[in-house]
Order: sequence, then C-alpha cells, then structure tokens
Amino acid sequence: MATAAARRYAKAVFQLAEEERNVEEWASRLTSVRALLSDPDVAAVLTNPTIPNDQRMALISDAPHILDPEATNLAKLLIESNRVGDVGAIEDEFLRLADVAAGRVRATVTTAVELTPKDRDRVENELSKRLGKEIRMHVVVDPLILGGLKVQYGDRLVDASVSTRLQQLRRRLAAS
Amino acid sequence: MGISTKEISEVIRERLKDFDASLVSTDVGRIVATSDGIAQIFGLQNAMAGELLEFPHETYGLALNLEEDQVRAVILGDYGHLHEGDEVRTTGRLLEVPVGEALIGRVVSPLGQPLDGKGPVKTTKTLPIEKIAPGVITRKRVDSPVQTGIKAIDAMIPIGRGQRELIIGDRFTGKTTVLLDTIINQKGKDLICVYVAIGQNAASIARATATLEENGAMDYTIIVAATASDAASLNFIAPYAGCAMGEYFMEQGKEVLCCYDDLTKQAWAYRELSLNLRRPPGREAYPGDVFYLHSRLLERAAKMSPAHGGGSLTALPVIETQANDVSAFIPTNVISITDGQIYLQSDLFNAGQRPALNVGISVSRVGGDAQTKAMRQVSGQLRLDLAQYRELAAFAQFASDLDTATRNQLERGARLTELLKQDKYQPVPLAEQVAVLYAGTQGYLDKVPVARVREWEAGFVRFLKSEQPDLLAAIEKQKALDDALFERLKAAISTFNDQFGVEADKAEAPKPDDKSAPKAQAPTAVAEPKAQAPAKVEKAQAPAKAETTEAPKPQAAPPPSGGGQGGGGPKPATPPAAKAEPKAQAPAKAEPQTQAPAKAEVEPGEERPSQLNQIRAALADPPREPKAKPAPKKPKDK
Repeated sequence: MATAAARRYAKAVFQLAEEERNVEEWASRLTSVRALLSDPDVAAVLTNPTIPNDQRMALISDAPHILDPEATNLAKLLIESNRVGDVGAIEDEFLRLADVAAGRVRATVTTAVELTPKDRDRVENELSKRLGKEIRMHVVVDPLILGGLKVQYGDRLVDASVSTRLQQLRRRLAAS
Repeated sequence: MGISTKEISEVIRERLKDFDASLVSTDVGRIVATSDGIAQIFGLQNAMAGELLEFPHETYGLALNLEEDQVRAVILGDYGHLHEGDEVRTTGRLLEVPVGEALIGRVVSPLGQPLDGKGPVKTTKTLPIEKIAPGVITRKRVDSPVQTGIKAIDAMIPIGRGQRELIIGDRFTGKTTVLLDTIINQKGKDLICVYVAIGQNAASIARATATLEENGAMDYTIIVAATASDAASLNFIAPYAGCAMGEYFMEQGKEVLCCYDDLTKQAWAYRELSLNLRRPPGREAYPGDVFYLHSRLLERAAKMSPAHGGGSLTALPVIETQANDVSAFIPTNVISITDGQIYLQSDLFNAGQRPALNVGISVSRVGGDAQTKAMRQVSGQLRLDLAQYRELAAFAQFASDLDTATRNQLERGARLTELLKQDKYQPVPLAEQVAVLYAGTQGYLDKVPVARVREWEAGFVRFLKSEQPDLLAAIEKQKALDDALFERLKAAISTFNDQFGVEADKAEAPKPDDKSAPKAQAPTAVAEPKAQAPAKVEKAQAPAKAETTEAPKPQAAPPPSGGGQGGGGPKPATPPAAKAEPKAQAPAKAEPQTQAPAKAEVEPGEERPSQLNQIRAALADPPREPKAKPAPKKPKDK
C-alpha cells in the first residue's frame, strides 16, 4: 500500500516525467531502481544505519553501468532520506498516475485455465467498451476458482467464478 | 428415520431449480492488519460509514473509520480465522437485523441468529439497526401508562408509554428484577417486550429466560442476548438491534417495551472498540461521542401520533453505578437523556426494603400525565406521607420523646413503607394496588402492627378476590374511583379489618378528618410537656386494643366529597390519636373541644405543611420544654 510519503515521491517523479515528456522512460527507470533496491542483499546494506550515508550513496554512484544518471540520483535521494523501503510503493503509485493520465485502467483477470489469445482479446475489448478506457490487462491463472472468471480493476471486483456461485448456493441451501 | 433421503433430494432439487447465481460486483479491499476485533483494510475506496463488510468464511464486519487510504472495521463475532491479505468485500447494505412476529418468544443474538435451539427464525423482513429517531411531527405526548406491577413505581414514579425511564443502582440491587417484573406484568396486555441483555454472563441470561418462561411471559417477549464472552462489537450493537426489532412493531401501531440491561456494559464495549480504532480517548477513556451513543438509542423511544400509526416504544435502560456514584460519566449522561430515573440502593436492599427503591430521589418527568386516575387518587397522599415520614424519621432517631402527631406520622410512614414491599416476580394488578394503597394512606392500617402489614395485605387481597371480585373488576374497568366505589372500598376494608382482628377505636368516631387532629394536638403538647412523658414508652399497640369494635368507622366515612379527587384525599378513619390512645391519651382527651373546631377550619389540602411546621415548632421550642433532649434536636431539625 502506498504511504503518504511514497505518494509524494511518486507525484514528484511523475511531474518531472511529464515535463520531460518521457513517462515511459521514467517508468523503466523506476522499475530498475526498484529491482536494485528491493534486492534483499542490497537493501540490507543500504538501510544499515551503521554504515555512513556517503559510503552507501557511493555504492550506487560507483556502479554507473547499472543505472543511468537520473535513476542514480533518485536512488541516492531515497537512500539519503531513508526511503529505500518505499521504492515499491513509489513505483506502483507512479504507474497508477501514469495510467490515470493516459486514460488507462489496469485490470486483473483471474481464470481457472489459461485463456486463449482470442478469449483474452475478447475480455479486453468487452471491458474496455464497458469502462470506456484503454485496458491494461494482467492475467492470472488460479485453479481454485474452478471455472468462470474474476475481473478486478481498482477496488472493483466483478466475480463470475464458479467457486463463488457454489458458495452462494451453499448459503442458500443452508438458510432456512 | 423421519425423513427419507428421497425427500431431501427433492427439496434440494426444488431449491436448485430457482437458484439464480447472480454476478457479484463489489468493491474489494485487503486486510492489512487485524487486532482485538478490528481489521485495517486497504482499499474499499467507496465504502460507506457503517456499511456491512463481508470477510471470508461468512464473517461480517462494520466499517467504522473511513481514513485516507484505509478503512477500519470492527469484526462482528469471531476473528481468529482472518489473516493479513484476506479479501474484504462491500455489501452495499447497512447493518440490518431480521424483524417480525417470528422473533417473539425467541432468544436471539444481536444479529438475529437463534440462540435457544428452537430452530431457525423464519423472518422475511429486515430493518437497519441504526435509524434516525421519529421527528417532532410524528410524535404525540405520552398519555397512557405502562403498568409495571410494582406498587412503589406505579404509585409514585409512573412510567408512560413512549417514555424513557432509567433504572439505576449498584450491582445486586434488583435492577433486572424490576425489568422482569414489568415484563411479567404485561401478561394478557397489549405490550410486546424486548429484553436486551448486554455483557451479562450467560448464566444470568439463562436465568432471566427461565423466569420469563415460567411466568408465561415469553409469549410476547423477544430476548436479544450478547453475553460477556461475545465480541465487544456484538455488545455494542445489541441495544440498537433490539430497538430495531421493537421499532418494527411500533411502526405497525403496536405498543412495545424495550429493556436495555445494561447500557454501562455497552458503553464499556464501545470504549473498547473506540480505543482499538485509535479514536482519541476522553473522560474516563470514553470516546467523544459516547453521549451520542446513548442519546441516539434512547431518542428512538417514542409515542407516535395517531396519523403515524399511534404505536409506542417505551425504553427502560439500566445503568449500573459503582459504589452509589451517580455522578460518574455514564450515569450522568444517561440521567440527563432519560425522562426520569428509578434509583435502587443497596442499603435499602440490605435492610429488606425490596424493591429497594429510593422514593425520595426517584422521579418520572412525564409519566405523571399518563397515570391512571384511580392510582392518582390514592397516590398523592402516599407521596406526601412518605416525604414527611422520611423527614421526621431522619431526626426522630435521636429523640425518644416525640409528641403524638410526630409519632403517628412515623407509624403511618413505617406501615406505608412496609406496604410498598413486594416479592419478586409477583407483580400486583392495578385494582389491587389501588385498594391496598388506599387502605394504607387512609390510615386503616395504623393499628395493624408493622410486622403484620404484609400479612394483612395478602389477606386483604385474598379477601377482595373472594368476597368482592366485582369491586376489583369495577376499579380495573373504570380506572377511576367515584364516591360509590370509595364507599364500597371502605366497607370492604372495615369488614376485613374486623376479620383480621384490627378494629377502630370509638374515640375516632367523632373525628371525620383525622388530619386536623395532630394539628390540634401540637399546641397541646407544648402546653403540657409533661403529658408527653408516657409517649416515650415504646410498645406494640395492637394487642391492647383487641376488645372494641370498629362499628363507628362507617360513620367516620362520609368525607368532604370533593376531597376524593385531589391528591390529598380525605382521611376518614383511624386517626393517629386513636393509636396513641393507650399511652398519650391524657393530652388528647383533655381537650376534645379544641380538636373539633380546629378540624372544621382546616382545608384538607392545605393543612399539611403548616401542621409539620407546628410539630417542628413544638419539638424545637426549648424554653417551653422542660426536658433536655429536645434542645439538641433543634439544629438537626432545621
């Protein structure tokens, strides 16, 4: 979940990205920063308070082959302000802001079996027609739902899975 | 086997046929943390305040705190099986409970689930537990009584339909007994009762249920039980759930009585929830809205106007005090919300005064208008007599030489107090209450020894039921006493007194109004202080007077007829003078003439205060009193 601080960082990064008109590039930068900082070994060093701050920052700037200069700056900023742990939330929030700005919706579709590309397109089209927005679909396979599908976007969940229906049926039979 | 498997599969097939699995579309969030019955949920951006949330495994919760990026909800019931990351769904509904006739006679949880093992509760309707109270336009003034069957309450602290009357007292003072008595007394009447037990131990609830069942009171009663082992959230919603169940009947124009036993526990439960919800604590660590917690519940008690069905919902909340401290936070809150309080005291209870009502500080702010006329006719005098008794009794403890008037007052008060005692779970019907209290306030009991008053009462009621059933029926029906009924009542009392071995003294015959007698005596006592000496002797009077008949009584009966209506009714018989006779005769007899004119002048309604003043003057006048004792009395008296 996004903390207030993470949201503020994400907003700042996003504003900068919009000004430079390279949101996509910043998104990939954030992804690589996240990949680096959330590595447990790296994070253990970077959040270790017994190591002086400039030494920790030097670790990042001494490895220019991993991050480009902007990403290095961001990583250093996070280390300096002790926000290394928030990097995941910052990326999530940044992507959310980017989606909102571009009129996109991220949806997670859960099915019991792998969708065929054709079905996948159909779900995506139907959903985008209904919401009036471009859909960025993320597909999950979960055999536990038995059949049907579940679509979640934002806080909204449309549940047409067999397991939920069976549950409803059980409740119906148990009542009275 | 009673049911064949074929039948079962038949039923299931039926059910399956019309089963329409609807597409579920809800808001979801995920549990971030649970602790102490509270879940922090991330997401649920569109949750409503007070919305019902669905957790996994048929668990429900109530969204209480809507925060910037999370929702805090209380979990209704068990929460041990919930984990971080579990999905939480909104339901789009506010918390509702099942309502309807099917609930009557059942013991249910605050969510309406049966607890009595009598199978499912077949209700079709639900109502939200939180509801805005009826507004000004829809209400009507309280105008009819709830008969509690408790003499002291019906006579002096009458409760009206639609009223909120607080029952307050320490633990073990008979608060629940007052409620159960009241519920039992509604047998055969038109009142539906809801008894909400909050935070009580399960054994107490079982006992209350058994008591109601034994007395046939479950035919019109719903018990909503949240035990001490239930989650705080259930204790918190229990009174609202009970109120919603009662409101259903009120909206249909029926009369409902809701007992909340007790709201202290609900406040504790709410305090627990609020602290766990991280709401800032205030006085005694209660949250800021603990006043609203109770006021919004009790405001739902109402008497509806005829245009809105004319139903009513009477609330009898209970508050338990700690060590008689009525000025604690919750007691003062609820006292200020309700329309009066019935104050039960443990020292009275231990002294054998049961119900342990403190008549002096118990009040009913609106019930007086609703009181039955017959009761009003007899109770006004009762209230006055008891008030004076208390005043005198306080300082009479220090004095041994009291003048006759004071002693008579004390004797009368002791008998009236005795008369107000009654056993638990034995409510007294209105007509019997009126008859017995009439006898007490009119002094017919003055010669019955205090220890035998209850015996007299039981005998008299039995006598009325067997000999004069139509008299009781007439009082019950007319709900007011006219001259003819007064006469019949007096005659019945005299006859019974005769049988009981109590009789009037001849000396009282010429005195139609005994209230003037003490007045006349007061100066006498001052003038002849030595004559008081015999009065000091404490002894039982009854045996001494067994020989005379009560023949003169009927003559004493014709009262000033108008006096029958007012509170200070006529007191035709058995004046204190007669009682005092064996001992204090001298002064009383010495001036028979003085008495006669005195009583002629006095208006029945107004003489009391002045009489009291005279008694005080007589007692507190040191120069005239040769005795040393009265002098120290003086400061006490004032």
